[in-house]
Amino acid sequence: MPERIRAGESGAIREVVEAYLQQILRAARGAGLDSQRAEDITQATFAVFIEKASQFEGRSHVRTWLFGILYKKIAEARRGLERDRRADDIEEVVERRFKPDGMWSRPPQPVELYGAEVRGFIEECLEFLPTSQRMAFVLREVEEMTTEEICKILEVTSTNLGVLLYRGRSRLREFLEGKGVEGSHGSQL
Amino acid sequence: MDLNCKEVTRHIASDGSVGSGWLYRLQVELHVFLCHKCRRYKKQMQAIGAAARALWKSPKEDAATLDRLQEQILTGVGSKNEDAEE
Repeated sequence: MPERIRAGESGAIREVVEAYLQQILRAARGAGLDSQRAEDITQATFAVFIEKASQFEGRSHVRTWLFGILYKKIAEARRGLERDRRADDIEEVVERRFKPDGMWSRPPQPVELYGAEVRGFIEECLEFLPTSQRMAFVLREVEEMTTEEICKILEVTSTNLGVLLYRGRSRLREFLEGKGVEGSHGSQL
Repeated sequence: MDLNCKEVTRHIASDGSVGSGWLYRLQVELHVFLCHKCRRYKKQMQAIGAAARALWKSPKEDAATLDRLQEQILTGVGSKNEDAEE
């Protein structure tokens, strides 16, 4: 397959597009782009893939290569869009939940939300996450990729990936808890 | 060595990038089994992942959109090859 892609064989290119179009579009949407922008980024991703097919060395899986292109495109597109975020203070937010000995001082509260509400809040909260955290979360949870593949796509070490997932998921959990606990104002974000 | 709740939750949320040895993982499992607060934390994290999958794996991308995109992407690919063959 890598040879056929490198040769720009139209059949091979078509096979790749057919195999990964849906996944790439889904990840673009998961990364927080609206439908139109997600379609544009998807097209741009495959345009780069087709243009650079002759350079595909086959050292990584073609899917990893495609998602790597997608991630760079999304990072470019979102650079101007990133909300005026406060410094990422999630570590401090979580820190305050524990006593000095590492045991809970404010343990997780039961979150009472319906499935549809949870999905809505997740979408809302993801808006506030940096692109790298969003992508790490989406590639792991939605695309169910391995650590190795995500690290190649995002060009991070496994330790860095752990930090991205930890911060992203912690932010989501804090947000959901704020929304789901009666009397809370969900002010973490 | 017993793990505390902070270490255990960090391990869970980071997919085990903190302390990845089998003994550490076993200690995490044991702690979660015994600590209902960390058990709730773990369940909430699992629910968040499941909700995200339900959110994006629903068939939002209808077949017509995919067909149209595929056609747009592949426009020129075949003809480029045919040109080369001529």
